[in-house]
Amino acid sequence: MQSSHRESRLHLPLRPSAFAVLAALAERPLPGIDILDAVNATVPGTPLLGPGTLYRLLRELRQQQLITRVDTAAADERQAHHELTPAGRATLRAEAARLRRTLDLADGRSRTGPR
Amino acid sequence: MIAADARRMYRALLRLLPRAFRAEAEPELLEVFDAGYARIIGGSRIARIRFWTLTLCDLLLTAVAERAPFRRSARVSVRTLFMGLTHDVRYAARTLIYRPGWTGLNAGTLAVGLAATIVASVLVRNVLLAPLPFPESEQLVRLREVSDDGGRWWPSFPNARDWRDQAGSVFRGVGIADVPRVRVVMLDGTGLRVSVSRAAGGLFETLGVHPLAGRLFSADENKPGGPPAAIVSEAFWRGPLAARPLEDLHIGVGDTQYAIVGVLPASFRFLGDGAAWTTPADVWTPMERDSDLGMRTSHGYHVVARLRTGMTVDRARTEMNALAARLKRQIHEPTQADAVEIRPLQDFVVARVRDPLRWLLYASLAVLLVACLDLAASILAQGLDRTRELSIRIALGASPLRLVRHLLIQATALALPAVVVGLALAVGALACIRAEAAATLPRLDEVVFDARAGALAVFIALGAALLAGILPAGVLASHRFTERLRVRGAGAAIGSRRLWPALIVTQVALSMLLLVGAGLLLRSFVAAVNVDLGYDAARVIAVDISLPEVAYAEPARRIEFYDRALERLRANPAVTTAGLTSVLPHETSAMTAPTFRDSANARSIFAAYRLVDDGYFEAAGIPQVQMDRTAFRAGGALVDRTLQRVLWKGRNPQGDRVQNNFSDRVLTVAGVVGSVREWNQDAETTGAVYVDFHSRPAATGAMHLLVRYSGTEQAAAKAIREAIASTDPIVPIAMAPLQERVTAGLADRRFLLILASGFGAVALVLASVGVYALVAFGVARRLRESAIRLALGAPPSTVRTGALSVGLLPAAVGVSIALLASVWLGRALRSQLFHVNAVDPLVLTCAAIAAIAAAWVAAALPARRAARVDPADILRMD
Repeated sequence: MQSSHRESRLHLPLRPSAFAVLAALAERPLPGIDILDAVNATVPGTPLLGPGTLYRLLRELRQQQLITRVDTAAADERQAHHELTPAGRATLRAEAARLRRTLDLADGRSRTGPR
Repeated sequence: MIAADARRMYRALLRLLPRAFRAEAEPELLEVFDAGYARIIGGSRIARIRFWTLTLCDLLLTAVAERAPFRRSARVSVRTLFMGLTHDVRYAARTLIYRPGWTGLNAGTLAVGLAATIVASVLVRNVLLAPLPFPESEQLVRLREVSDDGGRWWPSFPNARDWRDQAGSVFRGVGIADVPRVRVVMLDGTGLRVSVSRAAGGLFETLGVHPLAGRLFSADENKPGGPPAAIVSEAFWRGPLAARPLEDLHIGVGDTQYAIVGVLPASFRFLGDGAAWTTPADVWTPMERDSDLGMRTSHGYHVVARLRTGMTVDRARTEMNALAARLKRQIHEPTQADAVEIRPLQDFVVARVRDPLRWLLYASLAVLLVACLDLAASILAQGLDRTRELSIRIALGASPLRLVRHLLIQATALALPAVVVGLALAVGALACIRAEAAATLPRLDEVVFDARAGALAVFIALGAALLAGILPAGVLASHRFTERLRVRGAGAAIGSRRLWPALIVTQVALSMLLLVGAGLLLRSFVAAVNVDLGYDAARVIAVDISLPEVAYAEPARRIEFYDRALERLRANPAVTTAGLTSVLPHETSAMTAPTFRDSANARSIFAAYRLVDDGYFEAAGIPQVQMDRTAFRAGGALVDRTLQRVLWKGRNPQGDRVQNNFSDRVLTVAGVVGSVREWNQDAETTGAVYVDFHSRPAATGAMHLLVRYSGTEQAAAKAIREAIASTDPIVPIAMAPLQERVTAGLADRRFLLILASGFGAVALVLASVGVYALVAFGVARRLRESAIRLALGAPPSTVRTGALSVGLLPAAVGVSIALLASVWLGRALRSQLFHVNAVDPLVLTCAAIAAIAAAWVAAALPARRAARVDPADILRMD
């Protein structure tokens, strides 16, 4: 656990789009189009990602072993789903914690930060 | 669009992505696309546009990111970028020094392109864009009268004075000046021919001109009957006045002695004859001292004004139009000032050269682009020689980014000598232009090669070098190429099959377009030279005469002088004929006014007004003269064929009546003469009214003699000098062949032509060099293939034809593209053309032949080499 924690910190801070992808996959494996929707729903206005950029991002996250492709028993077999790996989950958690600390700092709630 | 079509289209667009990426991602991308498209079916048009825009942007972004040569080097820090930089610079310098021929050719090519662009951009910057050399010059405007029929008129003095006095809320100042006139100015008892202008109160103050010495006119001096004061130019002060102190310095203009009170700086420029922006008069006198400044219909004054701070041109126009309407109601005098035209002064000054200079800039950019493509092709071709070195670098772990940097630094290193040579060429070219085009380009004296121009040159050079370097860098450091080098080593074939032809096509097309442009201008020039002027300028000397105003104050004395001078000239055997005119045949200048039949509400056209003697037409070689000499001498007028056609619909006007606004009376037509082309050769003919000078002695202070001779020019000049001196030795004259003055009218056209044909020729040479490099490269690339074909028994001629076609096929495509584009070019250039169709078959054919011939020559050398290779040598190399 300790080593996975250290590994997860290697990828921090995550780019907003990468974080959004990992967050979208936190609950369950999703097909590409659902990830796209979830990510683009996080920002109003112009979408954050298009299919091409999403695909590049997924490939990068796969290479970093943060996500993996899974075969689901869904009705439509063509649809490839993506799922978080344990490292991906740890990274997501670490990034969330980092963001939370940053937010605390911004709100003046940090114990160490200036009041 | 139904979903299947949309899918097909998206699939086609996916081809923008690299093949490897597509193979991997296509199913998933299509899936996401399908799902997204399903949602917009039946949606609004905006939703559909948005969807496709986003999809396209996404694809382009992905394509660029995936094709970028350094995509594998995940994060590039500034530090890695600078590591080994000095090494690369040293290495690049060494490569250049060890290959002086290659370096010289490429640096020279780039230098030529740079010089062209530097010259054009310096001209555009200094002539078109730089503000006029007056404080807050953007507030300066030029005013003209606009009549209800849309005619635009130089203002009359009374109208301009009313504007000055009553438009204080619009303008901070209004300046009025008249057109400079050559007069005899008496200095220490000697008569000098000097250009003299008059300035109304507030002219220099409005412009913001400060005297170099002394002061400007005082308010008293610019009043009727005020103390006579004059301001002189710096050139006049330093020249004839020998820079003497201003106290007690006097000159005589007309019958008045003027005290010189100020000196204007040499840098002062103003509107001159024909509204050209030029060195103004040498002597200025106060305009409002004189009482006779004309009626409201006597046009011919330059009026400039300075807008109040915060006043826009549009608002000023509205207010001035209201003022014009009010004045018209109040004054009850005939006037053409129904409205006022307000135009920024700078806009007006450079209007004539805006198009030519813009074209010059485009042409120079085309030359630079051709030079860049040359350099790119050359670096790329050199890359072939260096595949071994590049493969070693890659084997040793050089990242593609390092390769890109290395190649860019090499291109930049080439740019340095190119900048030096290019700057030298540009400075030389600008000096030539200054000498050649002084009369053609306004503000040419303001063109300076300063630090900014130098910085601009360096900036353009670096940009060009990067542009030239990025293409080969992209190809040589591309993922596919480096992978191949990694796998197969130095023997790897290089680059894509589509790139070389594309380069040749672009170069040939660009240089042919330049040739077409130059060709069209050349044809226009030839047409302008050969146009029938309506007179014969060959073997004619034009003599300018200004009679000293005091000695010839009496009009009868002037007439006597001219009659005697003409008589003496005609008696001289060196002279065939001689005639007198108030305006030379090619210059109408300001002496053009509305002309109409009778004084009824007949149709009016602009026509020149000229005082001549009846021998003028023979001396000028104007044909088709049908005149009733007695009626002419009795005060009748001759009209030209243009007036006859327009006003009398071709009928015989003899005995009918005509009025020209310059004349104070209605004239009886005494005959018809041939039309003369006015202004300069491209302008269509305006009409002309000729009146015997004997009947208007008051207006004969300055006239021109036209002397046709049969012997040598020197003999004729001597005869002229003797005739004038024997008539009255105190009359100063200036003479020049009429032909020379006519040619000066072609200066604009010649200037543009010289530059355009220069650019065309340079681009053609550069394109040939580029085609040579590309074909040489293509042939070298296929050397192994050629060797195998030769070894298998193919005749060398087949190999040669194959190699030739490497250069000639794309060149033919380039020529076809240029042919299509030249239709557009001809249309766009139309304003610069004269008696030439926008699409001229002769020009197109010649340009196409020149382009193909250049490509042929460039391709023939490497093709011969390809056919002569020894297969054994090449195959042994593998």
